Amino acid sequence: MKKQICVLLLISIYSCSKNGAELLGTWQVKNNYYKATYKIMEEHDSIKAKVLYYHDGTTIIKPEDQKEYYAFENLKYTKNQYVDAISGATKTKELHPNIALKLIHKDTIHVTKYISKKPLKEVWIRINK
Amino acid sequence: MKKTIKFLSLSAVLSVFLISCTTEDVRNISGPREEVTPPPKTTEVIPVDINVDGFDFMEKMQGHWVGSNLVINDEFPFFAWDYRAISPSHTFGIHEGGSAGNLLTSFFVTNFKGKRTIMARNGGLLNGIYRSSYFVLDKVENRENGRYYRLVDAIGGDGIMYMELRFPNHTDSLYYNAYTSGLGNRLPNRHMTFKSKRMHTELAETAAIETGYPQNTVDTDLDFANGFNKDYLYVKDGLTEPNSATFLAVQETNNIFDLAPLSGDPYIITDHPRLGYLQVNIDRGIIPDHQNLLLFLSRDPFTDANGYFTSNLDAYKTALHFPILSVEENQFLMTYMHPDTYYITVVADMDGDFAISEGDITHPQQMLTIAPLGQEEITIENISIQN
Repeated sequence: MKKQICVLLLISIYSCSKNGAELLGTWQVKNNYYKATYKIMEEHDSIKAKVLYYHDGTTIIKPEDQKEYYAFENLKYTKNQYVDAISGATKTKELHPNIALKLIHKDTIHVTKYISKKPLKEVWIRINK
Repeated sequence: MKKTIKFLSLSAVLSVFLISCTTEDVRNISGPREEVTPPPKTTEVIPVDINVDGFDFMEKMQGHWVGSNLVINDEFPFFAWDYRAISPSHTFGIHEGGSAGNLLTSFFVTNFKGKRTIMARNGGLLNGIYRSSYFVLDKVENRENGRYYRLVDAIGGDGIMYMELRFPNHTDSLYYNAYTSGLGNRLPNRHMTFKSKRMHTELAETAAIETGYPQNTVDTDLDFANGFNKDYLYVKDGLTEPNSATFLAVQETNNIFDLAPLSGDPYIITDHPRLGYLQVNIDRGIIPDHQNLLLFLSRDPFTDANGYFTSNLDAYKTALHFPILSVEENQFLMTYMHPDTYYITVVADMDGDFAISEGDITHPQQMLTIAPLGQEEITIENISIQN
């Protein structure tokens, strides 16, 4: 029994300790409709994804652009995935993430974007650390 | 024959630009770096003077644009917009979704804010909501990767919603994207991503010849030199002034002839030159009432004289309209129809995959011609050939 409690405690501690370090790096989106490269970084205790490149056929964002754009900010780890926790509040006060990231391999993330509460799934591939 | 070509359910597409009053702050590309997402703001609208640059858009936009579409989070492997002239300075395209409703965007030459420019009229009818929004050309650029045009909400500017179109150099391609904010609920983000090739060019060429298109002239009913009547513009809850050039009307029924005048829209269905109507009646025969029906209007026939799907795969790319009729719906009025000759095919979607596939039931080919401003009717029967 003690052993089981210890294991549970360890799992709990491990879960709480997820700070997004495993996500840090540069990722390329695999999508038929747009191309994008994001740099997931930690800044001021916030895990955020800076847009390095984005091209949806008409809108193009390049590194040399003056403005900085972010695909998400303030990711939090919960229920085996990272979710965008900053802007999920709705009228009903339910937490509803805009984006959820699940690391399925050290170099692959399954990303789910929620648009009007409907999921749009993507795969992001790490292109460097 | 399995899944010869994918025509998926398009009801979701009808939500393009729809006034979805959700408050979720969905950030695809989240905008300029901010710790807290700023509330969306209207921006100044400065029309492009097409007497200087940009009139060529009217020439470029014509065509049967065939490709694929991502609408919010629904992917449509086959999608098409059929843009043809309906006057010397007005080109029109519609997606008829069927029972769910429709979505149109037309482009026309007009006067606005002291400039000769181009506007888009975008909207449609969905589940009893009639919406019509006006956009104005505010950017024309020669880019390394093609000719680029942007049209923004004629009142709210790019802070409310906008559309971008790019025609890559030396190709027959079009990238056509829309960005919306739910009329100001969030920062505008990508709503529709349509990429396509211009095909079957004779369709638009014929219309251009018949109308003398394109000309830098203004149709009488489409002159916005004096702007919009503010008494009729939609004012969002919580605002005292309209933040968008949008006209809305809501009614339980999907009757456009009632809703359009109610909305205060300065240009409604009955004002369109050339466009006609087609009443489609379907005798289901052996097809159960609970079976969804796919309706196709195409340049080329989808079935042979015996009613079997054609093996000519190119024929399926000539689909001009591809609505879906709900369960138990046996009559449908196609509106805003370009005058032309169409093959009309009803497919009983037996496996419910919203695609033409093995096992679906069809009928021998049927053809019909719609004259300019024509009001035609056709009855499809003998839907009995299982593929």
